[in-house]
Order: sequence, then structure tokens, then C-alpha cells
Amino acid sequence: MPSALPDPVLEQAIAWLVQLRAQPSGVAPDPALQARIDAWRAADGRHESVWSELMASEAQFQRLVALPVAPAQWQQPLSALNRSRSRRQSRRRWLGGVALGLGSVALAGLAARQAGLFDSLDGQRYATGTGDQRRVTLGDGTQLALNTATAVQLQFDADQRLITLERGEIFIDTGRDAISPRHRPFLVQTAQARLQALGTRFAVRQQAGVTRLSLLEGRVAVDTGQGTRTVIVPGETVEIDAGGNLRRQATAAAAMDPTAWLDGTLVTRDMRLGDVVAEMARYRHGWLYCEDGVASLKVSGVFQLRDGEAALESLAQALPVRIEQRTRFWVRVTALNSR
Amino acid sequence: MPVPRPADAQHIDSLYREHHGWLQQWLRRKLGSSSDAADLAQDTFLRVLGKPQVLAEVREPRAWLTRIAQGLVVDKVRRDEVERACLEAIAHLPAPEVISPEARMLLVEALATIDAMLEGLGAKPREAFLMSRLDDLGYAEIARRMGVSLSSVEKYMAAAIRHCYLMRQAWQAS
Repeated sequence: MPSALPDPVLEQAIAWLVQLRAQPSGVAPDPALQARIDAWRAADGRHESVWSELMASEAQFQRLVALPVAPAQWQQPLSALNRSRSRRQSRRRWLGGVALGLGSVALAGLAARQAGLFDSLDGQRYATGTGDQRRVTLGDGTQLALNTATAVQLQFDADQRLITLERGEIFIDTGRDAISPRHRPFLVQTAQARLQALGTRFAVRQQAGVTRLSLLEGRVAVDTGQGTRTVIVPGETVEIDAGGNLRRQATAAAAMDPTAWLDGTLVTRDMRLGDVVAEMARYRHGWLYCEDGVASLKVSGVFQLRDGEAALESLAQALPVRIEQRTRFWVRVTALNSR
Repeated sequence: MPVPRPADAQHIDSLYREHHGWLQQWLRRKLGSSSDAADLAQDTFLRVLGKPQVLAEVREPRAWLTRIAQGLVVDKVRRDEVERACLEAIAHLPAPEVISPEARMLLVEALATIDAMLEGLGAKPREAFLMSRLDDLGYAEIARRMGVSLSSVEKYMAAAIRHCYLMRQAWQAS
């Protein structure tokens, strides 16, 4: 069992959270309490970081509640586990928390097990759930980061390193391929295009019908399968649609920083509220929706992705909108003066 | 994100060559199944891949590998237990409630995470906390159902929140 010296910041954060959750989620918390908590969080960087750690634990429960299964499916196993745990409590020692089941590596490439470690990574899939992010180092030294609700499939063989982006958003910092005697091309396949990285750092996002690529360093060649290759340079963002059309734009002119998610933030500049809310919805379970009447309000700001409730709250403070929350999983952003 | 140097890749490669067979044997003795042992040996090396900076400083590779593998064994035992509890629960449900294998996998994963996070927490705080977070009950209702005072419920909540926080810290430090 973990133990630690009393930490006054932690104890204060716990005291706030205990008060905040006194009512079921259908009852809005006391605005005065909420304001005091917000002020406390804003007063010191450590307050905020302890608070977000508490929220990260809370998110594990929300993840279970949001699953598309009847509550009976988890209530029964949990109470069964509860009974067996209290019988054997303290018999099992906590092993330094080496392997909590957080994060999910789906191992598909086990067939190649005998062929050696790096070969066995071929055919591997990595995925994240809603609100999760994950970073992995691949055998060739490539750093791969997965944003919320993302799935990729790896095919690394003697001739190429291919990552298929099935859904979601990734950031890649390509490795030097030290384990291969020759340099294998590094490719990313999306529904609309094949991207060839030429020693580079870049982000790729798969949206409905559109691939979006933002380049930080190096070069990326875009092949839309129609005989033309377009080379993208750092600072550029391109959108590739199903017809193979490219729309090029300076990343600096975009309404949203395409790689801010790597730091756990959403950074916007004069972005439509409707788009901001849609962006926030990618990181949470349930239904988050922005009413048409307020969708074209403009938003500039930095929002913490790990604390969706605080992000919504700060929208309500900055704009003439209010957050209508029927349950934790049904939230609407609506005009301040609507009923 | 640190980029591993070529030396790290060689390190991992030689670590794999020298110890993979031994580790798999060790796991087979523990688990009694060679396919489970092979899976967990593979998982152990995948974890090693994620820690290139630690790798260069390891003096006792077998002790280090078994520590990681032991954690994975505990995790697997927990998961199997949770899965069994889920299957038993499903067996008692009417047919339309039966869920897809994918949803069940997510369910087992989420339950195992919560179960691990609450490991070692007392029975009463655990019960009160689950009523709050999963059944979405207010403290007054929890106090009524458990037959305790409101201030006891508040103490249980604080204990459970503190416990989850410390568990996360322990997990992140490893």
C-alpha cells in the first residue's frame, strides 16, 4: 500500500474534490464553491498539477461509465471482485505498481516471435481510447505519438517502414534506422494519400474525407495516387481531400496549433466556437455539442485537454455562453440568455 | 522525447539474445503455460524498448527483467480474474444484454485498471467511492445506504481519492 508524508497541497485538493462531488452529477455544483476551487487552482502551478492528477484518476471511472454496456455488466463483476478483495486484503503486496493495466498495447505481431525482437514489431497495432494519448519508441528509433481515439498499424520490413493511420492523429519524429544496413523509406498511409518522410518531424490527422499534414522539420513528399508528388516544407499545413486536391496553408495562419496536443493543450487563434467545441469533444466520452446560434463566436486561448470540464468552464467565462450539463456525458454549449 | 542512440539498439538486441530464452523459461515455471510465457516475455521486452535511457545503466539485467516480468504476471493474474468475474456476470444476463467481444475487452481493461487503482483500499471507502463514481449517488444517499454518518462518507471519499492519487504516483515512478 502506498504511503507518503502529508502533503498540504494534496490534502487541500482532496478537500475541494470531496466537496465538489457531494451531489450526483445531475445537480450542478455550487458556483461559489466552483469559483473558490478555480481560484485555488490558478494561484499556484503545483495546485493545478495536483488537481489534474486527481482528475486523471477520475477519468478512469468516467471511462468505465461511458462504455456502451449496461451498468449491470460492470456492477456485478465489481461487487464480486469487491468481495474477494476484502477477503484477501493485505495478502497481496503492491509490486511497486510496475504494470498497472493503463494504456493498451495490442500485440498482433506475436507470430514472428522467434524471428527476433525487431521483426516481431512488424504488423503491430497501437491504439488509444478517447481522451488518451500515448508515446512509443519504435525499433528504428522513430518516436511515435498517438493522440486521442487513434489507431495505427505498423509494417516494417526489409524494404520499407510503413505506418497506416486508420483513424485519429499522430506525430512522428523519424529515426535514423540504425538497425537496418540501409536506409529504408518511411511512409505514412492515410485514406487520401501516401506521405513519404524525408528525415523529419510532422503531424498527420485523419478526419472524415480529409488528411491533414503539418510539417515542423525536414521534407514530406505527398503522393495522392494520381501521378503527382508534392513536396511540403516546414511551417506548411496541407489538407488532402478524397479527390486528391491539396490545399496548402501556412501553419502560423491556422486557427489551431496542430501540434499543441503533444503538450496536452488546445491552442486556438480566432477559431470558431463550433470548431473549438468539436475539437474538445474528441477528447471526451459522451455527447458534447455547440448550439448553432453561438457556433460562429471567435475563440483565442489555451485549454488543458486533460481537464475537459475546466476547459468548458473557461469558455463560459470568456464568452456569452453557458454550459448546460444534464449528465457528465450530455453537455451543450448554448447562448447565455437561452432558457 | 529522447531519441535512442544506435548503441541503445545494440544494447537491446544483445539483451534480447542473451536473456529472452531464460526469461521465457522463468515465466513458464511461474505461469505453467508456454504460450502465456511467450506472450509475457515479449511484453517484457516491449517495455524495455520504451526505456532506452535506463537500459544503459542496468547492472543486473536478469534481476531487472524479472522485476518487469513479475509486474506483468501480477497484471495478467488480475486481468484473468476480472475477465472471469465479467464472464460469470454475463452468464446470468438475458441474451439481449450480451456484449460484443470488443466491448468486453474494453470493459475488462477498464475494470482491471480501476481494480488495480483501488487495490489495498479498505472495504468501506471502496464501497462508498464506487457508489459515488459509478452509481452517481450523492453523499446523503450513500450515508443512508451504508448506515453511516455524512462525515464518515466524506472521510471515505477523501481516503479513496488520496489512495488513487498515491497509486498513480507509484505507477508513474516505476
